[in-house]
Amino acid sequence: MIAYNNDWLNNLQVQQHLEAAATTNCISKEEKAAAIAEYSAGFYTPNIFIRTGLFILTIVIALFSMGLMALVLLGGGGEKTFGGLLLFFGAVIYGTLELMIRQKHHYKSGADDALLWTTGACIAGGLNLITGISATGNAVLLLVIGLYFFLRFANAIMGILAPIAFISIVFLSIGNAGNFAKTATPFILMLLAAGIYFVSKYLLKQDTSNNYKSPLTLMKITALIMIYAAGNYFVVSKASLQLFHQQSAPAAIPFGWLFWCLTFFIPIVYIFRGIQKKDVVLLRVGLLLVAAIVFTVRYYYAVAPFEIEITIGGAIMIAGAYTLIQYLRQPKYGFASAAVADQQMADKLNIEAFVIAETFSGVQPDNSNTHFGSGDFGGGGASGNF
Amino acid sequence: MDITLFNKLHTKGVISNASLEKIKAASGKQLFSLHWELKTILYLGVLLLSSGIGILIYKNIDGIGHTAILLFIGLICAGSFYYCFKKKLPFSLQKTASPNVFSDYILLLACLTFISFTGYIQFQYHVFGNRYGLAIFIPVVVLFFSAYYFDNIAILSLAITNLAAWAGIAVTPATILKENDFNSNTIIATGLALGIVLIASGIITKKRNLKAHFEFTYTNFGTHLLFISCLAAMFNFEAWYLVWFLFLAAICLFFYQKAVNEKSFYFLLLLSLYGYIGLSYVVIRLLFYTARLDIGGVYLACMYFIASAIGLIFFLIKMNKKIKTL
Repeated sequence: MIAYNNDWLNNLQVQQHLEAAATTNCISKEEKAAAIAEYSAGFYTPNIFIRTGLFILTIVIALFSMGLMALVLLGGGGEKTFGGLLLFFGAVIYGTLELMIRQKHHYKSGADDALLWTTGACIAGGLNLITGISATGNAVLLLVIGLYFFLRFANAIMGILAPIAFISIVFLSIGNAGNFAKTATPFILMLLAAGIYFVSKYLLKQDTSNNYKSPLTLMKITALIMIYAAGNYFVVSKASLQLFHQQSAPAAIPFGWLFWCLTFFIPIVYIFRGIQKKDVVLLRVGLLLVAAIVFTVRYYYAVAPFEIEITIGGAIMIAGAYTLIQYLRQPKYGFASAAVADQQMADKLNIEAFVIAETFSGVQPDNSNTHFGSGDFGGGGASGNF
Repeated sequence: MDITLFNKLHTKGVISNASLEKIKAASGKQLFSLHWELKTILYLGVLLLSSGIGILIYKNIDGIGHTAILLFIGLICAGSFYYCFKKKLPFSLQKTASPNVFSDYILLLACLTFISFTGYIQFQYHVFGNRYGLAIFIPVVVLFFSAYYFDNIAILSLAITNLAAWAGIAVTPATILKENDFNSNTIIATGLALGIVLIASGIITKKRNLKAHFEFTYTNFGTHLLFISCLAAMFNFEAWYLVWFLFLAAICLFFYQKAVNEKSFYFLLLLSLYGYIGLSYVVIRLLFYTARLDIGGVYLACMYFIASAIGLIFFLIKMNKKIKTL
């Protein structure tokens, strides 16, 4: 089913366990080297930078080959001819993708990612150009493509795309149903999303789906967020506008109190279960959704002026984090505030500094020309150099 | 950890008895770390608090409460700096560990409120008279001092972006192309100069071993700024574009050597992509401006892009191998 060499994929999993064991000093370097030799994988997987480069360049090649082919084959043909060409091109690229994986053993090399995305884009674009597909039709198309790539290439992003496409199909179909079905939509969607959650959770525990860990994890996260979105007051009230073809928001949506409860309740349940089960996915999604609670409440009720709210909110967050850090300085109940060994890798990547520089770009650059040319401003430092 | 796997490895004789015992012991008491969650909450808290204060100032700038606000910001800033000074470990020119996660973020809060504070007193009381540049420059000095004194790379990045803002350009990844008018000669000149200064600072930082781990931050900002300014110069001063292309080639060569010496795939990728943009510009110019081709030129351009991208892929793959075996 999976295009990549299955044994090698399994060996990669083993190698990850070995790395983890080596970073916590459970096994020696020699043991790790010996074990990795035993469980080797012959994939071509360059590091993230080369992967980025290969991705961009493969897209460049694909685009210009397509351009060249269009120039040679089409003398100004219409949309349909171009759509046909796109489909043909999608097939060629797909063939290349399979070949690269089989012959050159590319795995997460950037080239295979790029070919996969271009295949999908060509097929979806081509079909849309040839026949005007409805929104529901497109959702079905995305689900089919997404599921195929999910199964065949275990592509992580497909774990997000496929469930969203599935839920969209249901949502769009309900638009044509009766009023009872429309009113029940949030509950139907929540049940389906919960189903997706439990299916992915079950599959993640199976040995047979060992090589689908990343798409399944993303599917689980997407499902958790969709469960919440389906019950969130803001989402429900906006979606009901579309479902009932109304122009302006009704005074109150049916079962409004219930959706307000869900808006508050679901993230708390996630966080609580996350702590109880030590499930990092539940905990993080729960924390993320706390922000959604805040935005939803803000949208309908202004408790205080915005700046006062965020000042106080920020102070509370800092104080809360401080208290927890102090409390967990010595690990309690299996929780710790310090980083454990494998998390320090992310520290090394120095991402944090970039995020901070990006979000606090501080002063806006002074673009007035007076600042440059004259150079007599701010004599203390600007000696006309700039 | 997967005990069955390690049992299997043990029976195969790959890992020793002692190691297996260690693994069994470790898997029993694995801690659940809230490190990243707490860091994110702290970061968001600082983000919200400092932006909230910023908006408070902005809205009340003419109001009656401005002395109170000034006092409020001053107290937060002073309090945060006091905390950092009290907690900090002895200064060293090498990398020093931060006393705890919390103090990193308190330092960030201190620096951000200091920027607001100077901005506010300049606006309200004209402390620096008409020298507006000075009102930006003083925070830059304080930021650089804090970055070195407390050994904080995030503050260093903040200092560099503020330095660039003082010089008149935006350098953060999202704004570098959006907010700068690269058709302006002064911006291009400033960008080139600042880029070179930053790269030089990186080199000095490393050679003199003055907080050597700060090198990457300097070089990274400098590299992007220099490459983008050089490309902008090439597009802008059309008559001299070949000269600027040579300059671009020289920068690429410089970074090629750096990438090989430091085994850096990151700089290899940067020089390849920026260099590729420059080369493609020259080829397109030659095809359509110098040779004045029409549809034939389009064919040639497509073929150029296909061939050159394939060539660059082979270059990257080859370099990847070369750097790995170094």
